[in-house]
Amino acid sequence: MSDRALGAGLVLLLALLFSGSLLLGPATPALAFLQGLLADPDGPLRLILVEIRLPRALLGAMTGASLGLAGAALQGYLRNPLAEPGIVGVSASAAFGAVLAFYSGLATLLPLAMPVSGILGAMLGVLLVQALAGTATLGLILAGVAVSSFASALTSLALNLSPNPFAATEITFWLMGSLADRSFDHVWLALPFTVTGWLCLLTTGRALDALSLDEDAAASLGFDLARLRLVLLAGVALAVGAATAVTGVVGFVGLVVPHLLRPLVGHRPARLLPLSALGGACLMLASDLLVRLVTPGQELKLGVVTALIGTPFFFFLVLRAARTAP
Amino acid sequence: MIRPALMGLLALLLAPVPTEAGPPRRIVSFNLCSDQLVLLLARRERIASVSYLAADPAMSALADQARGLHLNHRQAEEILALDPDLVLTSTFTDRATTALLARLGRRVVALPPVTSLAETRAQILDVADLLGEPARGRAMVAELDAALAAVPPPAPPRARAVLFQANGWTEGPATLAGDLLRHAGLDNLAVSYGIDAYGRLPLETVLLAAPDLVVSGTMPGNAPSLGQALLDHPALRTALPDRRRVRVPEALWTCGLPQTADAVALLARARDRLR
Repeated sequence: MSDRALGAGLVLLLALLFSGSLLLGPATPALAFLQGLLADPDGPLRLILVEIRLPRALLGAMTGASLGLAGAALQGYLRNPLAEPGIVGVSASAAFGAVLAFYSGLATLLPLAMPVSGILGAMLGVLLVQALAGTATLGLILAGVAVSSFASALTSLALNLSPNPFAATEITFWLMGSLADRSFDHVWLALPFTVTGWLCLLTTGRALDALSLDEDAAASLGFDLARLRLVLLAGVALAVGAATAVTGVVGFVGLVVPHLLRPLVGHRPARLLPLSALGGACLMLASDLLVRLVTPGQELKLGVVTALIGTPFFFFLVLRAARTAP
Repeated sequence: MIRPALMGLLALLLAPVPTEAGPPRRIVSFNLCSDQLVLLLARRERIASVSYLAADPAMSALADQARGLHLNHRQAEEILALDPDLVLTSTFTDRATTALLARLGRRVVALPPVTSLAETRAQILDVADLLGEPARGRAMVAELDAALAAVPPPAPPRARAVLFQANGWTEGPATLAGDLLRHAGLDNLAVSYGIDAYGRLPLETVLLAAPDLVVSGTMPGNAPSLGQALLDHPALRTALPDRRRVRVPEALWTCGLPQTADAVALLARARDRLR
């Protein structure tokens, strides 16, 4: 299948899921919602559409694209099929950054502190994992576990020191990841960082192609590996940090999507990156729709759904990696 | 009589040692609600310790009275070191600590959380008896009733209110906050959604139902709260002007106290402002 056809298919799917996100919700059935909206365009339904469902759908697409793209880029760069923001501990360190900004009261004074702090946390996480891991699968997973545990320990410490006695309970829900009842404030907060992150990551495609041979080959083809590393890590930190700061931790999107799409693009990172962004947005919106449809009223957390989808996939990959290991 | 039955419910965890004659003289409490009842009812020299939350003005209606007292952090060790002859707590907090203290032979009484003003009255009287201060108990109940009687009655038409708390939780009629709404002459929207005690109401549902009043708690000391961020959602601010959104200080309705009547008065004022 050509990239163009695949891309067009994903865009179509994304449009469908996006419309579904706007039409489905706890307030009224989809058809009644449309009728009510047409009958009274200025009523409460318009408010629900514009102020609740639209930002939710936009955030879902944005963060899904960030996670898919970051997953594909990390897998290409570390040449490891298990690299993914959640597994390598980037999401957990981004969450620590965001929690610190929020519960210290910094985010109340300056809303931008939350995404910025999330991005800094993500950046520290990526640097740590890269310093610890190398390219061996086992090393990467161990480094990811270490960084994740360290970040969650620091998160718990921040919560213990918070003046809000309910902080720990609140954060449990937040860490499960959710798009529920977000507003345009969140969209505007995350958008500039997210787009910058995407641009960084999308420029790394050709260097990642060369890197898939090996480092010497990439260097001899004229790619500056130090620069690639900088751009890629900045891109991952910006995209994942901003996403985590507004939606909490949503895992496995970055793992599943590149794996599903990779065989379709001939294992070329440059072709995989944009498609993974589209695929990530689709998976995120589909999971969010599932959350609303399966347990209406008492919403399941989005991160729980993506983990339920992603964990069996992860097991499968670990088993396969163990079998093919020398 | 209902009181003896309630008393039985109350004394869930009586230790096997027989109580000595006379009122308890070294009282330790380690739950915010029992703390405040002890502060209200016991003589100050008989209070050995209350929890640190009782001294937090954002959480406790009696923070001033707690100042100067020994404040515990709900640990069995520090409570034992105070050698209490009565330990008060709630059936909901720190069950392990409660059980440990009882097993070590302390007299431990765990109070069930109150879910109405009627239960508040009964609990005040029960705890007053337990502390050997029945007259103070009756005085506190009289104070509560006087404050309630001073709240102006609602004029028709009745207003509809919804309790909308952190993370979108709502409370039905079988909770203290729900009972306060009823006393303020407000209909509780949660009833229309079949919620008796606690449940979730999505923001969309609240907006569509268009209640007259949205009632929320205030986060203690305005500490940053992710759960409360929902209460400032732009959609809610657009749909409902400020006078239709009420904040009740958490210290007034977390526990059932004479001060809880102030929350009813606050709700009644908000109700009258609707006109």
